[in-house]
Amino acid sequence: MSHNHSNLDAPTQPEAAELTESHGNAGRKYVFTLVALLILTGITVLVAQFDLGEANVAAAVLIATIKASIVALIFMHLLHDKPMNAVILCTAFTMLGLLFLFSFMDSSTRITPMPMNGMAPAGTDFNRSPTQTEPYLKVPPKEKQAPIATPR
Amino acid sequence: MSSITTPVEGQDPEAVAHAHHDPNLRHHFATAEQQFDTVKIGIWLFLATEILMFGGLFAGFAYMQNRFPEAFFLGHKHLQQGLGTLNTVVLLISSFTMVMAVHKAATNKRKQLIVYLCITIFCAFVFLGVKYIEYSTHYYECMLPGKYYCNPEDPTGHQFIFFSFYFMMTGLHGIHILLGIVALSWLLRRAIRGDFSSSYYNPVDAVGLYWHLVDIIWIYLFPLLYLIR
Repeated sequence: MSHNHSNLDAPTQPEAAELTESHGNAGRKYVFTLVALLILTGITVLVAQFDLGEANVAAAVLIATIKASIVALIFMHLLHDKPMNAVILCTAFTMLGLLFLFSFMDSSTRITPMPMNGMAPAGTDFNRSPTQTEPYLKVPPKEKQAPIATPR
Repeated sequence: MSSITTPVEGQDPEAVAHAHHDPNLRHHFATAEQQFDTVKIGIWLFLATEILMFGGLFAGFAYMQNRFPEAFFLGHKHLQQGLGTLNTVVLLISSFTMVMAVHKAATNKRKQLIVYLCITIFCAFVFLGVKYIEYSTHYYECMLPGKYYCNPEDPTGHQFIFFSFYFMMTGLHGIHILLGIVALSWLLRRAIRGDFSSSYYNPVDAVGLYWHLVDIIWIYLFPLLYLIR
């Protein structure tokens, strides 16, 4: 991989220089990449035929991430590119991670989810007046507990 | 215009302005390398916004899939895995031909650049054709998004949510394929005209990056929509 060193000398078109130098190799490299991607696609389809429970989604996302990384590193030239472009890509994925993180922190800590079928939850009081301050759901009042006797 | 600014009558003023340097190098760039890198950073920033746009849909999908795993499982059974796999293979091949097109542009192989661009466009049309077959199947089975869902076979009552996500995500992706075809055709026209050389192939590179991102998005869409359990 001699073009790694030539990149440091900053020719006018770094990628062009790289591609011209390794002309014969570049085509072969891309063919190997395509074959690897096709094999990984086959593995994804194969894995999905078995019921692994929760692991199915994890495996699918993991293999997809491997494939996406191969495409980004080789087809999108990030491996030999200026690091700035990789920084931009990583920033986008970090922000996406934040979106996922906070959505799930929210959704996993909710107690009464909104019904998705347009139906009101069971026990909803439709006849309540707008000025009423009680909650929508009729919750039977808790019985008053006798104060616990403190042992002497 | 006086004869001082245009030495030869009828000469293109654009050509006169660029006579002292490579016409592809814009005046606000010092070198071709600087222009190349700037175009690349611009495209990558655009791709970042694309990732975030699709990311919102993926987050919504993940949330709803968590809420209604059964409806999503039964919904995905109505998708044809074979056609989804075929489309994945077609897109991967088109990504390969695209990177070969960039490579041929960078090494002054005009004819091969044209051939690879044509194959890429062909693959894009195959992808859309397969998508059309799938969409029409869903249409006749009345598995449509949101309130238009009217398939009587729906034991969970929530399959419309799966199909809302399915149509939204694959539809937005399909629009990107369509725009990609437009961009690739533009490249093809310029390649036939002989605009590109090893010293100037920014547009091929930029469209290539876009095309690979569209491929990456499908790489995630395919297992999540077609293969979930």
